[in-house]
Amino acid sequence: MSNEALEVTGKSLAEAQESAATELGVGVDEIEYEVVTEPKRILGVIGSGHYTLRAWRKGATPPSAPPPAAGAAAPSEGEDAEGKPSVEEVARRAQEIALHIFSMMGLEATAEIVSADHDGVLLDVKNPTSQGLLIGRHGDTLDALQFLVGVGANRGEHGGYRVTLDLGGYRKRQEEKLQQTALDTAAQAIEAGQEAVIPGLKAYERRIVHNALADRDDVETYSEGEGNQRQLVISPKNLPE
Amino acid sequence: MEEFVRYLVSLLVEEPDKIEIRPRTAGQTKVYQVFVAQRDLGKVIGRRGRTAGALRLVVEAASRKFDERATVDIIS
Repeated sequence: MSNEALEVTGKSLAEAQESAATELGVGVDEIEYEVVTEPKRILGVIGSGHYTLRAWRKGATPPSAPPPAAGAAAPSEGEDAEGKPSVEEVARRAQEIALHIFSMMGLEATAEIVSADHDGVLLDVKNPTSQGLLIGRHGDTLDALQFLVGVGANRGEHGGYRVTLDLGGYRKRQEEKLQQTALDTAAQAIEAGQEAVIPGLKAYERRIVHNALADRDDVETYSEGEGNQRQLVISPKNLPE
Repeated sequence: MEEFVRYLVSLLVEEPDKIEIRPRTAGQTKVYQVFVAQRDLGKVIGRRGRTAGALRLVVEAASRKFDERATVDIIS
């Protein structure tokens, strides 16, 4: 898990927080941040512009934190939801919901709880017949299923446990491919002596690349751009000026 | 299919007994209109429509499995 601090931007504070949480791989209430820039206020109304946050995982010390910008807002304390279900309970519900969805779709499936700990729940569903249909384009359908199962398993509470739904090891294979892409692209960037870009990644895919290269001292990674245009940049360190 | 839509929506709301699903036909497509309690509307739509989008994708995938074309429409 990354201990890095990263910078994200969003049209609203909530959007920026969410984007930071996704890239850090934790819930929105598990991040701490400082506001780097805020939209300008015109006559008390928030005008155009974006929120830029510098965010890190709660408990991690932000490396080389610059002094907070003048007038930066203090991080707001996330509310502690009371009576939160245990991670085992969330895992059991997620398994039940996933199997119910599959059975209503007329599909035979098994669902194995691969892990359930403070990082969340990983559920691997195995269905021999309709893999492609359930994964969808670029994993979109699987992401949607995962989202609904996750909300249902946490009973609609936000800031619950992250639920990851895999389908016959699809996500695991994608993750390995992406880690290889990260290494290859980093090698290209070093070889060429200039930044290399991996476009078109989803937030959790960018996180995989960030993490794959986090321990390297010859490259650094960051994301830039908004929404669908957001892309991951791998930058060799000690670039000649 | 109607029960499938109802089940998915029930995962999201506080008042599952207020869910109403009305099937409509639009050309080749079956549209399942989703009605929920006022206080649950935001939960079914989600931030920037994320939940509604996920619901739609899953229903569309399931309908292909049953060789029909179906989608959902959340009625506010």
